Amino acid sequence: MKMLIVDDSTVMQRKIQRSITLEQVTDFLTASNGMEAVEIFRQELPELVTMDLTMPEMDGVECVKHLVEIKPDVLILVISSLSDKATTIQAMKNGAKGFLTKPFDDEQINTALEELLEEAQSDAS
Amino acid sequence: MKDSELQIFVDSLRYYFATNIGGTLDVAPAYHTESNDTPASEFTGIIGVSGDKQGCIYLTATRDMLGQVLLAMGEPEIDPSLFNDVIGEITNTVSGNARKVLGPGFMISVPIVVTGRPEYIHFPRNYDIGVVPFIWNGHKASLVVCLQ
Repeated sequence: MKMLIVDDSTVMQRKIQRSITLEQVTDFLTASNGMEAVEIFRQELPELVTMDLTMPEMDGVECVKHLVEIKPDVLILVISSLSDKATTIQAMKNGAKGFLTKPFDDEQINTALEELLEEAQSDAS
Repeated sequence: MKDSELQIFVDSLRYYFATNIGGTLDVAPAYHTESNDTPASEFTGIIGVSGDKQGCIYLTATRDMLGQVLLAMGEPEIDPSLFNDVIGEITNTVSGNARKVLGPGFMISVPIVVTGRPEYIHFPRNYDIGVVPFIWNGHKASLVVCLQ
C-alpha cells in the first residue's frame, strides 16, 4: 500500500515515516505543500495520506477536497497542530477520515492509521 | 495579555517537548516586558498571529540545541540544513496547539525563520510581550509571545 505524507516540514515528513510500523504500508511518497501533493497524488494514486493543514501554496483543508475529488475512497488522516474543533470539522467535511493532533507519539499515529484502515475494511464488507 | 493566556503557550511548549523530544525541560518563570530587549539567539522561528488577536510568537534557540533536538527526534545525524525546518515546526506546533483554548479566531501563519542573532527586535507599541525562558538538556532557549 502506498502512503503519501504531506507536510511542509522535512523533519516531520521523516518523523512520520520513521514512526509508522504498519505492515500494510510498503511505499512512502512525500509532498511539501498542497499543490505538490495533488500532482503526486494524481500520478501515484496512493491509498493512504497523512495531511498537514498549515502549509504554503495550498493549505491542507483545500488539498483534502482535491484529493477526494480525484479518488473518493482515499483514506486521509489529518495531522495538525490546529487542535480546535472548527478546523477538525472542516477537514472532515472535505473528506478526511481521521484527525490526529501534533505533537504525537509513535503509538498514537499507528493507532490512528489502524483505526482508519479497519473502518474502511468494515465499510467495504 | 493575562498570565493565564501566557500559560497556554507554556503548557503547549511543555507538551511538545514531552511528547516529541524528551529530555529534561526546565521552564523558568514567565515574565511580561514592555521593552524591546527580548531574547534572541542563533535561530528564531516566528509565527504571525491574526484574527481575534494580532501579534507574533517566536521561539529562539542555539544551533547546538537544535542539533541535539534533531537527534532526540530520531534523525540519524545532525544535519544543519534542518535547523530552520525544526525550529519553524516547533514554533508552529506550539502556536497551533493554543487554538484549542483560544479558538479558531486565533489564526496563525506559516513559520518564518531568521538565522543569526539580531541586535534587538522591535515590537509595535501597545503590544503585550511575554517571555518564557527555558533550558532543555542544558541548552538555553526562549519562547516569546507578543499579542495586542
